[in-house]
Amino acid sequence: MTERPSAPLLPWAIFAAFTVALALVGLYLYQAIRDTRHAEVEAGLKAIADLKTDQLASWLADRRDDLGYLGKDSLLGRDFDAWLRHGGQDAGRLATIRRHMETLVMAGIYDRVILYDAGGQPRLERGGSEVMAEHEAAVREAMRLGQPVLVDFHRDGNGPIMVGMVGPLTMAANGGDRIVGALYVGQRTETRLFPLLRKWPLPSQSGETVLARREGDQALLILTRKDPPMSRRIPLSSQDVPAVRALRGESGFMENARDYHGDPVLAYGLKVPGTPWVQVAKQDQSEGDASVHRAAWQVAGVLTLLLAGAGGTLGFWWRARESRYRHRILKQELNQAVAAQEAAEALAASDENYRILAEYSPDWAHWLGPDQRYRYVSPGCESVCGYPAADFLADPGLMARILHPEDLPTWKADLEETPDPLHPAHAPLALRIRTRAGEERWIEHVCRDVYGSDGQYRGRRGSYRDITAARQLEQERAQYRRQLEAEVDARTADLKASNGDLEAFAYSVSHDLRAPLRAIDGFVAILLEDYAPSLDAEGRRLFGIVQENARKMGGLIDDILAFSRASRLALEVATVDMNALMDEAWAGLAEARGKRAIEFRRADLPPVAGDPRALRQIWQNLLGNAVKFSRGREPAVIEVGGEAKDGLIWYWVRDNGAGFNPDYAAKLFGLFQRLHSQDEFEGTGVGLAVVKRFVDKHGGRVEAEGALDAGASFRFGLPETSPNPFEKRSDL
Amino acid sequence: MNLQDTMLDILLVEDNPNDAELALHALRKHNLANRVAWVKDGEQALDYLFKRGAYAKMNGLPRVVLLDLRLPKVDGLEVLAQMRTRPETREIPVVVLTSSKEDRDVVKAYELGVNSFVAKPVAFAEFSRVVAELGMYWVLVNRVPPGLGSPS
Repeated sequence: MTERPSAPLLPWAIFAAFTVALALVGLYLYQAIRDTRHAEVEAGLKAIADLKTDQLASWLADRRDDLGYLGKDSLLGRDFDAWLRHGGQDAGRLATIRRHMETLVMAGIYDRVILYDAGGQPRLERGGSEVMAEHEAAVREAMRLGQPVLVDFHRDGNGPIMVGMVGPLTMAANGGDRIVGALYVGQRTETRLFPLLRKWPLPSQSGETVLARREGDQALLILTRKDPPMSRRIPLSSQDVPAVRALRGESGFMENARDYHGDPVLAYGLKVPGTPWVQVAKQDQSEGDASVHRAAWQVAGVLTLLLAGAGGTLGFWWRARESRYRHRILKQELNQAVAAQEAAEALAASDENYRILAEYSPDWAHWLGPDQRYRYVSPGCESVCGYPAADFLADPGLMARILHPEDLPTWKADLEETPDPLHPAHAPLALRIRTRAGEERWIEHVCRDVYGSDGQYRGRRGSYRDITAARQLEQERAQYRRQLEAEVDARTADLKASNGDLEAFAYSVSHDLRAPLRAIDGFVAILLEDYAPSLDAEGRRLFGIVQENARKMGGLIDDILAFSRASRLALEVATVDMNALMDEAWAGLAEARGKRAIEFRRADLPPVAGDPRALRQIWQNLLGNAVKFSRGREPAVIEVGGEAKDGLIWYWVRDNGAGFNPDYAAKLFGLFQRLHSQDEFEGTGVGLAVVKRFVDKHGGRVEAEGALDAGASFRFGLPETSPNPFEKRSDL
Repeated sequence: MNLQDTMLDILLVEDNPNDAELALHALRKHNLANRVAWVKDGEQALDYLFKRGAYAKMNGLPRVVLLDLRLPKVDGLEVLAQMRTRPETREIPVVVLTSSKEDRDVVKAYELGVNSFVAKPVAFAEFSRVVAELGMYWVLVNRVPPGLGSPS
């Protein structure tokens, strides 16, 4: 069993640590992003506030410059002064003045121009519906101070909100400037200043510039994004509104601020120098935070993704691990189940195998326990002895009773042998039993000691096999063999007898046939010797013929005997030096050769295995023939050679003699076969027959080639190995 | 008649009268015939050599025996074998005369201690010469063993 893997503490710890670390990183990132964002917003707000302040300052300076230019010794001032002196009756002057005023408006800078006399009374005006009372204080102040005074945001009656400036009109005179009157120039805020202030140079939905001034114990919001201009007033006690806080003297970045609608805002406030105004650049905190939150959400998303990835990986790993474990467990269980199943099947198959092996044994198989009782007897026993297996199992003595009494001791002796683990097998026994039907049968008993897997002696395992048929067959064979041997012996005896007869005949021929010939020849010789004077020439010739024929017959008998001897010769094989043997034979023919001139050529002859006596005779006969049949050739040429070819060692004797008609070549080696007449060449026709007989006995071959008067060539081939030993059985 | 006179030179054992006559003729031509005794079978030869039967009163032994192998009653090889078993005849030279050229006869004869072996040729002239030469040789050249030279 594979151990179930423990819960992965380390991976989970790592995952938890990872989560915490990610959370910390996320927190840190969030704070960092928020801080950065705040700093960015702050910087933006400050920059915008500064910009607006500069713009307002610039605007104020421009107005002052304008009034300075228009108020001091100007054409407007001179004409207005002149018009005033004439009591407002000088139409020409008035037209000029109006042209001046029209120029100011038409130039697109101012929307309203009012001229005041030195007493502070408005005299001429351009644009607008009525002269505003509140201007009067500013007019008097300007003439008193001798310099321009701001006319703060105000409504032109029910008309547009204006802002303007009043400056004194002076003319140079003796002893200083003389104030002629005052000039008011005003601008509609909606077309001039407010757009400037409303303009927000940064990409923000909620960014705005708030302009405010104090009015009693209230703050008047001159310009906001959300309310109509100069419509909202907020008590100066308010703690949250940045404009109020700025009016109270606070400047710079303001935290925990809420705007006039109560919305949390980020704000930067400051006083506008030279004016009663405060200016606040602000942005909804929600907008600034929105990007922070967006970043936070992004960070959180990324972190979540990372966490999910890590968790997923961990989970995946865990599941894979778990799955492997389960797979292993399942596989083990499956293997165990399969193994158990296989074991069960194998056992069943094995039982079946053994049952088939035992039950269908054609033999009478058995297992005899150490207590001499049968543990098992195969059903085959019934077919052998006629008793069913159960009889032997029930009756251990049954075997002894059915055994032939003569074989009982053998069987008992074998049974009483002590078990020897080194030699467990027992020699086979052939026993006779009497079957249940009373029939005698031969059985072969083989058995061996058996041992359990614990090494304990467990008795004997053996079998009885019916060998009656084989035994009968064997007996028949033995009988047949005896008959055959007897027959062979009889024939051998016959053959020996006939051989003996032949030998006796040959012996008889050699002795008894020769004796009369000897007598004929001998007594003719005596007759010719002792009675020659009594015979005439014809008588002596006739006696000569008698003598000659007697001798011929003697030669014939000699040759027959030689052939007989050749046939009966028992080969005694040895390695033979053919050169020496042939030389010896050639030397033996010296008498036959006489003084003839014979050119004898002998090549080196290979040695051969054979009987020297037979081989010498072969050479004698072949060389003798060559000498004989080359008679009359000058010179006679006789060649001898030898070579190994086709598994035989061939020797040949070639002469340039009389040769023979090749048509009769087959006859040459037959007994008493002659191709020449006695007148030409004497002979009995036995020599080549003897050669052939000897060569045959060696298991060789003979060949002859020739042509009439063109010489003859005789070849004999002997086996390279020693002749078949059965060829030696020539004594039969 | 002293011992030397009564001693035969040649004992011819030959059953064929023609061969015997031819042999005697040849011996006669060489003046050896008067010293030849001729017996016609093996039994007579053994009687003669061992002083038995008809030859019991005989004195002397031949200096050489010319022995044919094919003899009635007792054949030549048997005669030879018996001669070699008796001290008085053991040393007598024996020349086998036979028309047989059978190897086994030659071998057997030599085994039995024959001194020479001569095949009888068909040609009489040759036969005559061989017989005469053999007779002369064994009679004249070979000395009688000393034991036989003095009377007992």
